[in-house]
Amino acid sequence: MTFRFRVAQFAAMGLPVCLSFCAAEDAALSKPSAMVLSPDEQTAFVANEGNGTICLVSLNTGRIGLSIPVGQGLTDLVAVPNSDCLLAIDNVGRKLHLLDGVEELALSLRQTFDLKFAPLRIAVSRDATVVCVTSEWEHHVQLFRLETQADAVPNITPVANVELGFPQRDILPLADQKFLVAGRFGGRIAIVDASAKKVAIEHRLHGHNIRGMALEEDTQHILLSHQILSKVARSSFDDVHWGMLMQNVVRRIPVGDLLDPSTAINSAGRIYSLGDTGDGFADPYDVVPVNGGFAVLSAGTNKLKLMSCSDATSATTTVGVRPVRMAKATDHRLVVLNHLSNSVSVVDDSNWRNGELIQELAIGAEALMGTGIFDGERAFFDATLSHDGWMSCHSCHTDGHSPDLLADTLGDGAYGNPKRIPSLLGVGATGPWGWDGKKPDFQVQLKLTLNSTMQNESPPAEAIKHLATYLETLSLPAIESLSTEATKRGQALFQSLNCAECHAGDTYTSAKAVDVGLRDESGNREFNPPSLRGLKLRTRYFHDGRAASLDAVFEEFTHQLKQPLDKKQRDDLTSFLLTL
Amino acid sequence: MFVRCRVLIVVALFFAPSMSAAQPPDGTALEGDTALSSKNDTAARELMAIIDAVVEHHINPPTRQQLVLETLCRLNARVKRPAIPGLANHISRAHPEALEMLLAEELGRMHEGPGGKLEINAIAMPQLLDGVVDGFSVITAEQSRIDRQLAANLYVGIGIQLSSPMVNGKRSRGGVMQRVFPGGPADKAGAKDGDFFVEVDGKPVGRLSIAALVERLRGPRGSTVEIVVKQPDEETPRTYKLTRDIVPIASVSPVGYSDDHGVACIQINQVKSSTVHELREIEASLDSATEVVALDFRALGDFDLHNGKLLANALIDGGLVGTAESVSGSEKFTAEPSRLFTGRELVVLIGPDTIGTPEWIAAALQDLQQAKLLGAPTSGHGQFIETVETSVPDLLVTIPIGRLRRANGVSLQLTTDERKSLTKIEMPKSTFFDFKSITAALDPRPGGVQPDIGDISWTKPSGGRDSESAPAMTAKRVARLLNRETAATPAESGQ
Repeated sequence: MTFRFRVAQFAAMGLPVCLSFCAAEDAALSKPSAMVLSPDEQTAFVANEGNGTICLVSLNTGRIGLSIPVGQGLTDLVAVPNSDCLLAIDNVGRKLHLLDGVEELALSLRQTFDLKFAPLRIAVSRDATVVCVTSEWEHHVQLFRLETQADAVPNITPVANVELGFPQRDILPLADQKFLVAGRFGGRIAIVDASAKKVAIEHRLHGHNIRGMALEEDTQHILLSHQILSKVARSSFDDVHWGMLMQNVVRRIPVGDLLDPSTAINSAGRIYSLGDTGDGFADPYDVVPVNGGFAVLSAGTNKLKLMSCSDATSATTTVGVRPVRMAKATDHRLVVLNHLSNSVSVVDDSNWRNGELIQELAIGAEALMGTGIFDGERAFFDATLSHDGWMSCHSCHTDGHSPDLLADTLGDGAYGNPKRIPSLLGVGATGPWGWDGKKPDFQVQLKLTLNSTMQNESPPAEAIKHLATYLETLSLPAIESLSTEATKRGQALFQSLNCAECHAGDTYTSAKAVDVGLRDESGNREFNPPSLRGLKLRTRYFHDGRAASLDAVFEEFTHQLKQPLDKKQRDDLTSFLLTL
Repeated sequence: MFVRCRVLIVVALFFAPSMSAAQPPDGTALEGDTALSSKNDTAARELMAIIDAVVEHHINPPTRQQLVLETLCRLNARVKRPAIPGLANHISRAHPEALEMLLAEELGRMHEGPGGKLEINAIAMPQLLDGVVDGFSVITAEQSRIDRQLAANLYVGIGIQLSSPMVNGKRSRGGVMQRVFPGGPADKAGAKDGDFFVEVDGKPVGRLSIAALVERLRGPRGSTVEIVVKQPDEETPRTYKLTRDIVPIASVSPVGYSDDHGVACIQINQVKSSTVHELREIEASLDSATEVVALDFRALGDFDLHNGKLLANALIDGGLVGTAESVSGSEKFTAEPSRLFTGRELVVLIGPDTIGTPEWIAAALQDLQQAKLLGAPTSGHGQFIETVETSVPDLLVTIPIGRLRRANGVSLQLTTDERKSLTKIEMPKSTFFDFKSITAALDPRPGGVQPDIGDISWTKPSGGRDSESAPAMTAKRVARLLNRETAATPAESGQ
């Protein structure tokens, strides 16, 4: 295997460098997703989502050490405290891998466990006794017991699944055997007590897209990075420009408040606004505590910001494309992983308190093989397509799906009627587009969204084309087979109630606009029936999210029912719908 | 009126309304019948467009017939013609579609009045209907565009407030920079308050009207203008080449601190699209000893419902704010969770010049027990205003389109009857009431918002809006009213 790498010439001076470390033959596909620093902090172990390898990157020379194939799509990598081991999870192959050889920089795969679900993130408790894994779409976390033994490979055994009631992503180990688990789409957070195998406390943050969590060194505060979409604001130029529609923030919350179930979490701690006019700092991702403040990444605008917690003095520097993870070394270096430029940026944070701008980095990204899908993926996560970088497509359509929040855009023709953000999974097949079903051309709808929601006057035609290509690849989980009697009875009801008149075919939608007795504030009555595919992934229903459950759709709103359904019928019908 | 007064400081009296009735009968006035009648048709069409917009959108409109009658009677009086017999009856019986024609015919007759030739100016319509319809104004599309720029804090220009120079106590021609906005192109180039204009783009401007000078100075973002200016006592004029750009005009004054009592005072002067952003920046910079944030609304009059909601949403930590009621229906507004200045106590200062949406915000903070209100009762205006289009493209109408209610349904607006019953003083003739004089006469009174801690004598921000020490003085007074002056001294009780 041959490697390409490039080291900026000032690397030897200990100044910021940026390294590109990808195997040449699959440069477009490596997509680094997670990293662990070696004990001497001179090397980073980097897990790749694109090609399933873990590679070693020397932070001094930029040299690629070893690249070992581990699985298919690695989404996370953690070190097991007080051991020579790493844990990696494979989202595609649904595996948990145990590797050792950290000390010697010679990794080898020791054990592999099959997982029932596609894992997203993994964390080890601070006392190194429990492993917590979140999975794509699942509403529970998986807990494993970890037994470390001197001079032997640790022993891992499944313990329990803990139900949280919402799909999750990031995990932060707190004291003892507690984990803070954050929602993948919305603002729900829960503290899972692994020793009791249950959720100890739950809070609902006003916000969504929680993408960074960190515990400060004295363990008195946590840092959370997320976004806040206001349904009071409009997607007008003014409201986008002044950061009214989309706010990108870091929240600093006292751990004491977090652990108190009676805390009004939205009034606790402090919110740091990261965006400013000219620099919206979209999609805040990883956050780490740094010298009385924090460093946070903007995955949308490819920046790193250092901010003081006392007076919010800040300095910003540009890193690679879609920086998602960050590790802090003790010698004032921050190591940043750039997911879509296959690179690592090393940033010197020693001068930040003076508010000095950290040296700008030359990006080491090699030209990537331009496939429409890859360019489309970049465009999807690229907030520079929006006015002043306040939001990317992902900011609202999280990972292509939806946080089920409302946004007041011109998607329905006027302001004043905030509408539920639609999921884009399977969107390529569900035309016509727009709530009114008046956009028969997908690219026309994309251009409209870029113009009127992201306030980009003239989005590049290429970007729109690539976006369409990428979005057409976003697929829904497969339709489940009808394994229970209830689902079969539900299907029969679906047919006898003639639901398929509007929700027809494999996509469970149709091209017309129908008045179903739901009126928005502008008096619009006719809406394009949304696809019923992926209902199990959603939390709010109807154009304005007025129904909080599928049951409410039929009980409270008697959606298109000639006569009411009884409880059993509703249960049957919803259990069928949840298989779609 | 209230909305306009703030705008005018920047756009410099650009639209001086001229309803000049008496013109010399000689000179240019000898037009043919056809020209005259087409002029009357245009005037009738414009007046009718305004009347239609008022009737359609105003929160409390008279009928079209009433407005047509009132317009004609008042125009008639201006040209000193005798009253038209049977006019009211005639209008009442006219078909709605025929009102415009009737208006045009009557306008035609007025040109022959003993008062002389009549110039119908649609812009001056609100003056004409003074006392008939509450607070509306007519503006051009250009003015509306500039209003929107100002409301969004995206005003494009060279960044000065222009006024006519005073010579021997009289306003003369030409222009002087009354105020140079910090951070604007003129400021960056080095222009100073009090600079007189000598030339603009190589042409002398000493004899220009202020409106003509404004016109020369305006232009799109990125365009350039060369100005020659000097101070009255300066020998050599200075030349600046300026590029027109967005001129940030802060809607919030710098923070004032109460020494060591933990109170910071922020005076809010306008509610723009940028106001919440400005407050976020201030929050980030607040002294860590600050425990109380006093928001000074005492000089805050604003009427834009959307910007008002954005500010409400930023200051209120979740909860029902109230209802906005307009001809198109009534809408409940609930603030989202989280607010600015978390972890700090909020105090809002109110007074008789707290007018419009700020009254609503203060009321909600009081009702939800999220902030203490200090000061004197608010104006009781309680309306929101919007600019709506008319059927004539270049004419827009700024109109009170709705009223604001508290969460419990109580209106913030004093009705005309309430005002009358509450006051023995004669109502002023202006379209808006002189709230200051009313407040002086009445206290306390219903409507508006009452303070939790009253301090009636203290109705205005001290030192005026540009004084840097004003917020600090206010912060000290707030500390005193909250009894923090004693609380902050080192405790001696030893507990």
